[in-house]
Amino acid sequence: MKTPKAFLLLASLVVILALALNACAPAPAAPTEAPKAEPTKAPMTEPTEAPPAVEPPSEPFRVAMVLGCKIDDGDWCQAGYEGLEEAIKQFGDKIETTYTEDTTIPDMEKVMRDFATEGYDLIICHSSIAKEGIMNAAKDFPDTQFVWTDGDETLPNLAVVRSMTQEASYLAGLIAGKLTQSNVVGMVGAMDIPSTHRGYAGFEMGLKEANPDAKLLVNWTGDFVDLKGAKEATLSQIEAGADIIHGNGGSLNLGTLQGASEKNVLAIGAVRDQYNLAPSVVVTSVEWGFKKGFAMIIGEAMEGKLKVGDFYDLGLAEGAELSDYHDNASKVPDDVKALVEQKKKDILSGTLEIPNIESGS
Amino acid sequence: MIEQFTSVVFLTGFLASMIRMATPIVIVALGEMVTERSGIMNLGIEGIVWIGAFAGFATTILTGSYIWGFLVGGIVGILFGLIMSVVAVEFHGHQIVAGLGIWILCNGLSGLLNRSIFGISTERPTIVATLPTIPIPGLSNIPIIGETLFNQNIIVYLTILAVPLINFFFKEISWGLNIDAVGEQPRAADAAGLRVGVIRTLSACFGGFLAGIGGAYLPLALYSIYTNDISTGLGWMAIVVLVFGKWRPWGILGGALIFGAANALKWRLQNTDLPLPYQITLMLPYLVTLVMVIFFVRGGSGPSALAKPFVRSEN
Amino acid sequence: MIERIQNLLHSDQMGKWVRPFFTQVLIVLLAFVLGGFVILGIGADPIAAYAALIKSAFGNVNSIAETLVKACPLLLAGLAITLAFRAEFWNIGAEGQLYMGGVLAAVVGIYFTGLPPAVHIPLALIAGVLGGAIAGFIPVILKAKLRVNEVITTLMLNYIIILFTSYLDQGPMSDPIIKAGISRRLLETSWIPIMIKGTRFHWGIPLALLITILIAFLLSKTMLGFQIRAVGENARAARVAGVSINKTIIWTMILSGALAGLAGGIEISGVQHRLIERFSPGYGFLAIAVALVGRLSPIGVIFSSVLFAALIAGADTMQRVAGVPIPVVYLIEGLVIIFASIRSIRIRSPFRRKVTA
Repeated sequence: MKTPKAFLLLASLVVILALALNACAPAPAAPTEAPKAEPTKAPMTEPTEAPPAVEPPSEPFRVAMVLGCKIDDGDWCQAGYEGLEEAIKQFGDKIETTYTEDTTIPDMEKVMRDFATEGYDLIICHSSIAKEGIMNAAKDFPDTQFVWTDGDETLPNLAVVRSMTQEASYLAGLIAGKLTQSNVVGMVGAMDIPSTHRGYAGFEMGLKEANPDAKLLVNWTGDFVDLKGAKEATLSQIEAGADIIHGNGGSLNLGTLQGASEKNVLAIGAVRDQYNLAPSVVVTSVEWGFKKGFAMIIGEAMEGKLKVGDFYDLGLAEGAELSDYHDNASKVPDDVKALVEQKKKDILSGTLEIPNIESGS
Repeated sequence: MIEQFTSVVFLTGFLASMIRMATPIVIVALGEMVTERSGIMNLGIEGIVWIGAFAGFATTILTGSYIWGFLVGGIVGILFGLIMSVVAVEFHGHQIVAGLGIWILCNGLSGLLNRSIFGISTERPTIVATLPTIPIPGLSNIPIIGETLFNQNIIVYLTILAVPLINFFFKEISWGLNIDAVGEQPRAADAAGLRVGVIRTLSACFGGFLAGIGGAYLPLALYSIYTNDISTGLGWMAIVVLVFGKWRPWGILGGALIFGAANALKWRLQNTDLPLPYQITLMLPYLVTLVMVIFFVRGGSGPSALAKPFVRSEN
Repeated sequence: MIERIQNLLHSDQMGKWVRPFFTQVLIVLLAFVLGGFVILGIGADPIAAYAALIKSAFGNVNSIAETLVKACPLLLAGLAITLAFRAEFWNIGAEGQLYMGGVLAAVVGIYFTGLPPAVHIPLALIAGVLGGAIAGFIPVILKAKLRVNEVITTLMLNYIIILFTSYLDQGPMSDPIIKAGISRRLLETSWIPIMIKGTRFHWGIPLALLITILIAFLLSKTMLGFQIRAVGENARAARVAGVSINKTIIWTMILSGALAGLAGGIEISGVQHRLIERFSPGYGFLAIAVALVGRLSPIGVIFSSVLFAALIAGADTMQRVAGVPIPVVYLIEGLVIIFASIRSIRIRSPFRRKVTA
């Protein structure tokens, strides 16, 4: 006799939950009067969330993106998703976009096949480890164009995008080398894989060039999301004397920057401009350039000019860059700024080449 | 390398790191201890930590108050503790399954709420300052341990206090004894007039409450920001520490401190010139826990009625 | 007619199987209904979402094949959990055992050259079985000889094995070109052949089904099965009856680890063809839910593994077709699991009243 009552309780809990969701779903303007809260951007309703109801007059260019993590992970996948959003901003209703997130590796092939079968013109696989999946799917759908992020092989209908972070990281390394007083600099990375190793190698090169005595401490957290580990690693580096910390990973940088700002040690972010995460200490960030890069690639694909069978290397010239100094400009001496500008010009003009080193030893 | 490992700076940093890692684990594990000693195994605490972290973060952002943040985090935890106990007590549900379900549910729920409240924007709001520390006059000036033990935030002090208190509660207070009775011998307890269901429900709610607090501790006291992966296994570690400590408060504290120490050590090992692949240094906390268990913590299997539904025979 | 069904439902034989089965199905359906409210809550169409889910899981031959490809590791790992839990050995380590199986299968698949498929494939799978068995043996020997709690050892071994896989993938076994945590490709001679052309339905799936039947037989008809059940249901009575508890749990866990390892081996040599770090999206953990929703019966595990596989398979389609974001998919998954945990609802059924009246 008791059970149905309890059952109702459980059921009503769930329904209340659903209603609560309903209440907050239509983007309530988060009250920003809270004294401790930083002004928040008004929550955006995601434009790609639901398929567009209004059909544009001409047939839109259909783009699908497959992501292996969540689009709000503040990291790799968010960077890719922002590229998709940037394309929507630029091309409006000339393109129709969709995506799947948190897709597991064994599922990627199936999802890409589904997209191809449904007639998508361009399929972007934003996962470097889905090699089998992208290769199989691209071979079986020769009329569909594919883009693979951080891949190592191309096909007649497959282009590869690579984040050539070593150039911007090299510039960041120069700054770190010039600014350090203890001659110890720290770097907290996620996993030692090509996309992070390039940045690591570039950063070390710049650091040693600017300051041959500087020592680089390196921590890898083994994970792209481990805030906890990143913060502890940062603090351990600061304790070992580091006075500049480079966070070479995405959402785990939140932990790195938090640690640096607690100890008031200068920091260099990555992936995108991370100044707003710790305004007191972030001097600059190494931007990976997916935002502009994907928009550019989608644009080229729309015009039928996708460089299939080739690599798009997102270096300084193609969207990757060193972020603005913002309010910390005064912490960087003018001669250092000049040096960075000079080297940047050298890289862009081709007189200085930063080698692409993808793995250790 | 030896000098590096014995310097005052190193020791201070090492102890501080150990305590930072251990505090949320102890909070969550103490709650789970109460739940399990009443006979309910709530494997959903990992999820409750997530949702507690989100609730605490969102509340503090909206109200600007830490107290509200912790309170709402705890209340949300109670809600999920309640769901767990309803499933366990009323439906005689399989507790391990229900726990896993709560874990996945909370994963989805916190992600969804995060998106609908803060949007998919890189401009995430942050809490301007983490929970302030309260130095204890006099004591906080002692070198090394002064900085790490007596210059902490209020939650750390409360956690340290909670260990003997909860120990006392289970040893001396009839309520604590009743919880143990229900977890060990529900039939006898029932015959003695204890209301097994009610005691279990309250215990599960208390466990949820502490898991929510432990979750809220992460953004409020440590990271000042929320991401979907903020917990990274805190709940699972709490369960390990609970078993490690043989369901006793002091054991939990010891286990959490050992785990925290191994964790603090792994980053410091990476900073030396030892030619170890980083994955091997990352294994350190787990290897240390494993070795400690093998050599020092044998036996101990928890309350005898753990995860077993109590069906009152009606005839 | 109706009366006959009713009588059938309440005859002793059918009542033992059919009623629990339908209760379980009803409860799961209820979870979906509640999930529908959540989908409504975020402003999407629940019916479209569920239609997409069903279509993507069972819509055509290819989608059925995909669902079964995912059900295969869940089924085997679910059986692994079933055996261990039947003997009341709380093996949370199926994930690690699955990884270990995948690692060894990949080692055989990559480095053993010049073998014909007829030798290479079984060898890779045996290596997988061996890897899982070793990973299962460590916690059980510690438990049997030293009384070390298995929850800790299996959980810790999960972390250690997964980090070890990551080390192999970025170090010794890494792909010579792309060092992003994926290994070389397995030699084609070690790939489990595809059974239905144009899909990924491989011969590992019927193998898994066969093994399920063998395990069902083992549990119900053999001495070891009897001992497992005896130890799990009443350890003291089992000891009195002369069953060696240690021996039983050791063999159970070797078998359990072997099954999880086989799941990893089949996944690597049948589907993924490379050892990718974190290649399993938590199959070993989900397997716990699979096994328990299947009520620790091998046949039940078949159904529940297909249910969970359909949920995973449908997750992408629900996002794409019905605009349901991934957190909502997890939310529904969680609801289904919570509801599926419910063992007894004593709702007085209308059938019963009629029959007894």
